[in-house]
Amino acid sequence: MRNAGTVLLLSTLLVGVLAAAPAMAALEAPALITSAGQSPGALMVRVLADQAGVANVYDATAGLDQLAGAKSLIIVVGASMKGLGAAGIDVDQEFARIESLLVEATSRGIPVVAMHVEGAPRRGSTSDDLSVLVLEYADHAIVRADGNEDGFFTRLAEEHDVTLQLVERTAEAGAVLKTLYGN
Amino acid sequence: MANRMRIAMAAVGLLLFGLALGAYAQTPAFHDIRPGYGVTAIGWLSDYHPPLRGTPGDSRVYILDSGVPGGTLYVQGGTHGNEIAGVMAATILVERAIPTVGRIIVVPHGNNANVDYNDGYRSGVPSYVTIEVQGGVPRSFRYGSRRTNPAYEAEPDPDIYVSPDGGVHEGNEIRNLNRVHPGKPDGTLTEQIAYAIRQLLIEENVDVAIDLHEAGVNSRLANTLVAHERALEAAVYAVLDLSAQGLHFNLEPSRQEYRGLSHREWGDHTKALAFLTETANPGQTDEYTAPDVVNDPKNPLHDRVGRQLAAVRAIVDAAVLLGAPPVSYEGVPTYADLVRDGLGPWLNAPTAQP
Repeated sequence: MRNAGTVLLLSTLLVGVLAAAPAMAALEAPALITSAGQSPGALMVRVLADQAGVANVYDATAGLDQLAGAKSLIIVVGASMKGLGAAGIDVDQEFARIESLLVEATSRGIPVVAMHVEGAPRRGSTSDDLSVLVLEYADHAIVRADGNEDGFFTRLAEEHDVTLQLVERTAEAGAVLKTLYGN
Repeated sequence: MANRMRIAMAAVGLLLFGLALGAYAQTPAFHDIRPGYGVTAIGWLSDYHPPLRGTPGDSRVYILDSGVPGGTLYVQGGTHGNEIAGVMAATILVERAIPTVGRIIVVPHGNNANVDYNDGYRSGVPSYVTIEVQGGVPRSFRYGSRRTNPAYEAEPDPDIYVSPDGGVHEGNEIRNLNRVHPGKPDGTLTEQIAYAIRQLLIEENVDVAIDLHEAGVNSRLANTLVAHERALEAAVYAVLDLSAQGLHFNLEPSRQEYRGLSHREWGDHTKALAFLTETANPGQTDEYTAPDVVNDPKNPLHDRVGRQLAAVRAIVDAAVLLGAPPVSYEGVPTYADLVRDGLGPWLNAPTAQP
């Protein structure tokens, strides 16, 4: 019964966000979802993408091979030193991996969605540097609003002509994905 | 002669007083917890590790059995006695929860040997908090410390403490329940408490285990859910469920280096999916000189307890959604209920006035 209530609440959020979303060309699936910084945000986005019916391949440390079959690339920014350590990656390697994915996606015409869904607690110098890198190549950005209280993502989006959508709650990002993918 | 008799009697009296004091000191602390209809049995941690009986480390175990087959949920407050929202959330479960499928096991004071000790970790915090319940009746709850009262340990703290599975910590962490898991049957009092909890999780076939904590308001851990890797996907669902309710929780995966912590060791040593919650306690915040741990305007206790209970509910729902044996319960206030009502109406009041 309570699960039904949760579904109803998520559906209500979905309708609200759909109504507010601007019209845009739908992205194609499958999407490759990866992390930039190895925080748990990418796993959250994988769950949200599943719920939104967006076919996806999730690999937090994806390389160019995983990009082969993808029709879109979702990069979820969030730096966690412990996450990087657990994945056996240092910061420089992470920047290099993400940049190679972005360059390759751009050269193949694969649209890029940048996401920052863990809010203010997941801001910081490494996360911000990764955001600067990813938004330079991104077509769309979905950001939890409390992570943008200083206008950081707004400025980046304006600078790089990225379509920015702010959500109040992490769970609302799924509805934005649903809209972006025309589901 | 009369003087000798008086001196002898005084000596005997002092001896008896001392013995009585010693016996009292070795009695586990009792708390103002008023079990509701959901509670079907009350035990002790020492039921799972008999050497704890008669020590300050023993603690009440409340079992709420629906009688309907399902899974078993374990909820523990009071690992750190100063993290009062966890204690109060566990207390409300004991007093209000009515299980409808499966079982709930609640230990409101995971480390009962820290409740009468102020370790000076933070100044300006109380020994008790008082909540006014129905009829204006005050109920008091102990506000303990992070670590076991050193008077209850046989040995002084070492310089360095190495937990049973190799975690290296500062010496005084030997008295921190959340550094000594999975415990030792013949270890220090704190290690034996951890061992009893591990035995409980195994013997009661616990499916989901949640350790309720608090952190400083400005700590990166405030409003965080930590999950063992086997529990991580359920934690993601739980965080998203909480997000949909407007409750932001950060997600932190448990790491191998967190040896001695509950989310690490419960997950490694038992079949339970292991979680740890954190809310934001002004009483643990360095920047606050006179914290009000109950009525702080930004993080009042009822708000923090509401977050704890919402997290417990979201974790259970997520775990069941992903295949854990079902557990369901009713009667527990939602976050919105506690924001609207405060804690008082959700704690049991005396049934009759004196």
